Amino acid sequence: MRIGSIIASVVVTALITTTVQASSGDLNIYGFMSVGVGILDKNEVTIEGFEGEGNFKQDTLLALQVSKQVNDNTTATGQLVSRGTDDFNTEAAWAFVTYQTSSDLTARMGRLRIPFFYYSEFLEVGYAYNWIRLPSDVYNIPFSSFDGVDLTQRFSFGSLDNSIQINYGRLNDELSIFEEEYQSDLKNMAGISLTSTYGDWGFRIAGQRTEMTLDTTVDEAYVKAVQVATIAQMTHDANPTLESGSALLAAAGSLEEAQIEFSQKRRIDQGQTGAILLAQQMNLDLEVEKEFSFDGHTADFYNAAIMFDNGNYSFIGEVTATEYESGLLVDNRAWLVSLAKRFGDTTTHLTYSTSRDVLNSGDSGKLQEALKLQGEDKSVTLGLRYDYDVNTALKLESQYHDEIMNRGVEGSYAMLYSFAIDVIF
Amino acid sequence: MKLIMKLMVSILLFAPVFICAVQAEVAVIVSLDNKNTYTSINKDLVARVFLAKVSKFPDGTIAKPVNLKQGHYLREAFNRDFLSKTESQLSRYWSRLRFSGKASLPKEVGNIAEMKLAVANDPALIGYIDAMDVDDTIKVVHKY
Repeated sequence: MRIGSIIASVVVTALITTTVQASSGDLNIYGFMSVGVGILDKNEVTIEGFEGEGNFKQDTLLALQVSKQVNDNTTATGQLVSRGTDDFNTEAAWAFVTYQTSSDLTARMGRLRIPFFYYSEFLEVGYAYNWIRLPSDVYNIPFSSFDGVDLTQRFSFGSLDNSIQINYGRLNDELSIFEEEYQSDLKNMAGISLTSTYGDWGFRIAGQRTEMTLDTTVDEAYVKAVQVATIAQMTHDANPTLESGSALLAAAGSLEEAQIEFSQKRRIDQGQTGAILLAQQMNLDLEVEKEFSFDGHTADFYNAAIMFDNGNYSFIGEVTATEYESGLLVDNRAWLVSLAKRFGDTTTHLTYSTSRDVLNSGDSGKLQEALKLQGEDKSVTLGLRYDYDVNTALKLESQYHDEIMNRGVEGSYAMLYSFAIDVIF
Repeated sequence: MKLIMKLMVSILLFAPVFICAVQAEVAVIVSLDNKNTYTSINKDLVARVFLAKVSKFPDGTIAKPVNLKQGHYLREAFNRDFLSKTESQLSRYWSRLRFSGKASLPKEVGNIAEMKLAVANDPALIGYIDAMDVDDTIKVVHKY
């Protein structure tokens, strides 16, 4: 009996050991890391998140990816990213299960990256591109992951290899817009992209739509105070009495208080409040509460890109268009072109990128202009990438960034010098 | 004079290795059970399979690439002759696929003997060996 139980436990142990060994054999742990520093030659502007002094956090991040083959068709993958810009808090950028059918169809479910533009699905993998960071004129969408599903179908015509990817899901998360936090619910996030490669050439077109709800609010107290003060002013101007004078004084006092409160609100809350007041003042024919808010308003993102890489020369041209139904964010057109030439282990590259906000037509656009929402930027980046070994790249970059227009007024320009080490493991 | 002698000796010593590495003829191989023919699998298709752009042989069966480990002289020859890319460029190419969950790295084996064994036993696999190591356990589909 005793021998029996010993044998049983040995067998059980052996079985467990085998299982553990088998699964650890299928478990892959890998990752990427970037360490960078940047210095801006001016103190009064912020560009790419950099201000005047040396900043070591902006371009620094660490990501670990774990994948486990569950069976022949199924793999579970997770990617945890810890960013310097987020005080090295760790976030799951990816967490999904892949199911691969035999017919070149792949289904994924879980937390995925939104395939907005060409680099969107590996936007933080510095090692994967020549730049230290993606050109922010084009890559500036304040969210990058969603929870849902995507399907990828691959097919070829001769040597032209294609893949169509469709995705559907939702993102319920805190978003950082203009460096302030907003609780968001991005529903019905749906998109489609087609990527083709032919020899050294690659092409991509894509579209993505979501319905944005943000926790932005109108500062009712401020709206009220402005209205009361305006009426008090008009009353006093029409027939100045002692009463009307003291009423005006009181109204001005509360307006001043309300103004202090208002100035502490987030930028989009201020915009939403300002929209209501300005629409009244400017006498605009507009459903301002409905149009200048975020309550399921659609946002559309379009992209086309062309790539070339023959090993010695590479090129990418990419155009994007963003259309917001809400007047509080301005429609945008952006594009970039980048050329690179390789000399052995060293690659030099030159990039021009530009972004331009496009005001709505009619009264809606007049209100956007009065709210000083629009911006325009252009950048020229010259850089060097040195592949130290097959897993390590050293990068040096100088970027001239011109904020042609920032928040509706003429902006400033600056040079950003940066250095980074990108590693994969 | 002595220095020149030393130089000549070292050149002579290293020259054969160098020449050998340059001249290594790469033979792309599949299992004997693989029904695809020499003519159907061209260099372009080999490259597309090894870059995860295609996952099927011309007859519709699944194709999985097998690599020799990094640093192997034949892997370098294969990368250069078939993929026209350096190891660093491939590493960058794969980082895009791996970190966006699109594909994982091809399976790797340590040496040519392991490569032959793995490919011989699985008709889905496609690998490469030195043309000098070709024997009747595997089938050559492309040589360069």
